[in-house]
Amino acid sequence: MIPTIIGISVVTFLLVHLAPGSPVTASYGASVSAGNVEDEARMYGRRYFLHLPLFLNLHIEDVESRAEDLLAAAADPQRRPFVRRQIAALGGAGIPHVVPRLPDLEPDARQAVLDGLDVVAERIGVAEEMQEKGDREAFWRDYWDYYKMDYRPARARRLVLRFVLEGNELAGREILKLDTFCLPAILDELGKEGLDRRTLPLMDMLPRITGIERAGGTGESREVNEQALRSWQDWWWHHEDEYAQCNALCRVTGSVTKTQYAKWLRRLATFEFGESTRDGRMVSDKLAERLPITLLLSFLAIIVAYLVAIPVGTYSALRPGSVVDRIITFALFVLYSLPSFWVAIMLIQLLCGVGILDLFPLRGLTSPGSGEWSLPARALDLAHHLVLPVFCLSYVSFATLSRYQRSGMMETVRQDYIRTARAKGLTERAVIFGHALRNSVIPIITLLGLQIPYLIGGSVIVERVFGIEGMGLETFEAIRGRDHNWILAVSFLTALLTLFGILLSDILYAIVDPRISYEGRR
Amino acid sequence: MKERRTGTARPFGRAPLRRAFSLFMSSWLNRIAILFVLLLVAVALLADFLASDLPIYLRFEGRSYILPNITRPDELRGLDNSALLDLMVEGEDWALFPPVPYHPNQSKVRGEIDSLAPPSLAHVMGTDDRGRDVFARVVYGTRISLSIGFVAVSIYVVIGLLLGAVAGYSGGVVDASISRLIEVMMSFPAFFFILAVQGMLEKTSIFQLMVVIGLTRWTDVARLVRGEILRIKNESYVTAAVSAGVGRIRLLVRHILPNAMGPVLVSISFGVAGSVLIEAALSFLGFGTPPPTASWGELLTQAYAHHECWWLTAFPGASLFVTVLSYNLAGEGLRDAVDPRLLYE
Repeated sequence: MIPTIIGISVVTFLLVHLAPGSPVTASYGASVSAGNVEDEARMYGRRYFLHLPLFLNLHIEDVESRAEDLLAAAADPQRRPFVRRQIAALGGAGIPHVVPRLPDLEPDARQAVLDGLDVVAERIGVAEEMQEKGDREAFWRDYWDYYKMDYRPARARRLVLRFVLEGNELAGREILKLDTFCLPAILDELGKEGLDRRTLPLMDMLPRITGIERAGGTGESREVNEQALRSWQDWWWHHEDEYAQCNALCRVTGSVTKTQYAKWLRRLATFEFGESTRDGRMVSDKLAERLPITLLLSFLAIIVAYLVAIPVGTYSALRPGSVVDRIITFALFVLYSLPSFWVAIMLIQLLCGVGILDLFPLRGLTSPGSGEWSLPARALDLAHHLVLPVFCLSYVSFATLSRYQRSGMMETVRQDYIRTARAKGLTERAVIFGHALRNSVIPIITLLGLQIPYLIGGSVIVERVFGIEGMGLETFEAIRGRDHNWILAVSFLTALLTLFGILLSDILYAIVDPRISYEGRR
Repeated sequence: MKERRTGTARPFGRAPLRRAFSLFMSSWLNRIAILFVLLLVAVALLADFLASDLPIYLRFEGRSYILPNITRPDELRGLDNSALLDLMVEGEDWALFPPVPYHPNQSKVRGEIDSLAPPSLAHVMGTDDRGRDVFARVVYGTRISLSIGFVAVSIYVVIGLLLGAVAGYSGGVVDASISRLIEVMMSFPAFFFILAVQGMLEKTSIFQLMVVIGLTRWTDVARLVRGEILRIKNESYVTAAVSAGVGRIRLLVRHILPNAMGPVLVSISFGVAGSVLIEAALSFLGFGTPPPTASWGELLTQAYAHHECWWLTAFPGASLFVTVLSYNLAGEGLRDAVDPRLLYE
């Protein structure tokens, strides 16, 4: 079971990478303002971890490698504005890796990097000192000589602890001075302690340090703050590699965990599928809205299928070889071969007012204006709308199930206990309903789980034809609009549902047939 | 179809394959099914002779053209049947026109577009929303449907045979991992998964559709072959072959696989029906055969958009239905015919 789920997740994951071209250019393309293409691409890539390798990460990115990349990029005049912005955003975490290497740079590149550092200087409160000094490069050289010892992770952790435990103002100022260098310690502390009176001021610092605004902070309500914390943690989950340094242990575990697949798997485990690239809504919200409609349709279709299949199959099994039996068998076979979308279109043309008869509504599940009707009227309206879709969804199922029911019943009436029942003089009715029927439905009950994948596939077509806004129609729209997150979420979910269906079949088998036990011998 | 007559004369001593064949042909339903299967293949192969914008034989301006509908000579570029008919000189030129003188993608006849015309003498099945002849599109749709059916099934039968044979024959870790792979692939609802794959791919082509269906639906064949091989491995004739010193590969290819082919044959027949259905459903949703290629599903999409045009529903839908039904019937008949319990009883 577990290996199969992992296998399913790998296949679904590989499905993403079928799409030729990078989803970055495909999705953000339209919304970019001219100058910041690289920044936007970077942000978008971060959001979906596109910078990470698929399954194995041997070149782990951390703040050091990022700083190196930026310094290398500074050699290209075209990319200098980008470098400037990135150095500014990197902030204090970048100082230990950028400042000591300033003398190695070309003069022009150095200027770009220094421009970026100006913003950092402003933030950590040394801008005035730098102004006095005049020579920016010399200032940073002296700064680094003087404050080198401050930039140690252990010190950042201690400062955060002192700030939280003792409410030490001085420690707070020191944290702001170290800027983004303290982010790992801050987020670590927030994650461990949660939000309370003491840690709240810590969260207040985050917007100042990162330059990102989030609702929440001192004075806001608890819910807002909780949500703000979650959103900060989510941000950190995406951006940790940019600010934290990776030691040897982190490099070993990171080779597996810092991959697109691992990040994706973790999101799946919490059923967080990201947002729909088509309309920006959360996929999980949309699923909660659409899935019940599809489940309602499927549930009704299953009930109809069984309600038809059991009597039809039984009836024809009790008259094997007769004309009626042969007609039923052939009719079921024909029904089984009828393409459901063809049937659906024909039904619409014949029965929905455009053709000969006007018996059923054309589209949707509710009539316009039905919201104000009384409950029974609304239920009737819904039932009226459901007739055709449920028929189209269920007829292939009941054609298949009837055939199984027929052979199941024929198998049953051959058994000795049926002969015994007849021999002791029971009426035929009592024999069939009292003794045979319950045992004859065992095969088709166990097929219940296997109907699920079929119904899911069918729902796309039926919902499309009848304009029902369920999961199937949304999937159809999603494929049209290349909404990858939705397609992935739904593929994964349907596979899980199918797997669940197979499991359900096994369990039902054990329940309806006491001879089969999963505990003893099999 | 379980109670089908299994034939009266089944002499022993005939090869199983021939016995299965005579068993199969003893039912009239199977004979009809096979007739339709062959008829559809013929329509697909002869599509150019049934509907084309150029004649089958043409004598025009002192030259004779053999099969211009297939060779498409440069001299006739820009001309079609109706234009030729206007240009031809009585008594001197003559032509053998196909029964339906339109190309499936041809929307103009004598420069005019006659769209959504109901069936008439000029267009026996009417025209679609771009004025293309529905009969021509249905005929060419047969070609597309069947070629997708056959190629997709060939791809997945090859994959399924290979993986199933390896799994069943070698056992152990190989078997376990292939079985797991089958289990994973089977967890994806077939149609839904193909839809998702088609949605992820940028451009769709017919060939790609064949490959996608082929790569996703091999699990049934693999499972069947694996099961058969596990069964056959313990038969006494295999033991006899081993003791006679037959090598492993030869044992598998010459002795075991041929006897495992019965269920595969059945699954091919059902598979073609299934693949044709999948292609039509995908094209109906707009993710299958890319336009302007003729496809039954695409015609049904038009029928959905134009509710009042019954001819757009009836003809392509009926062709699809007949195809699926006859392949399913043939599969059902084959299943009974190759069932070892019936064969050796």
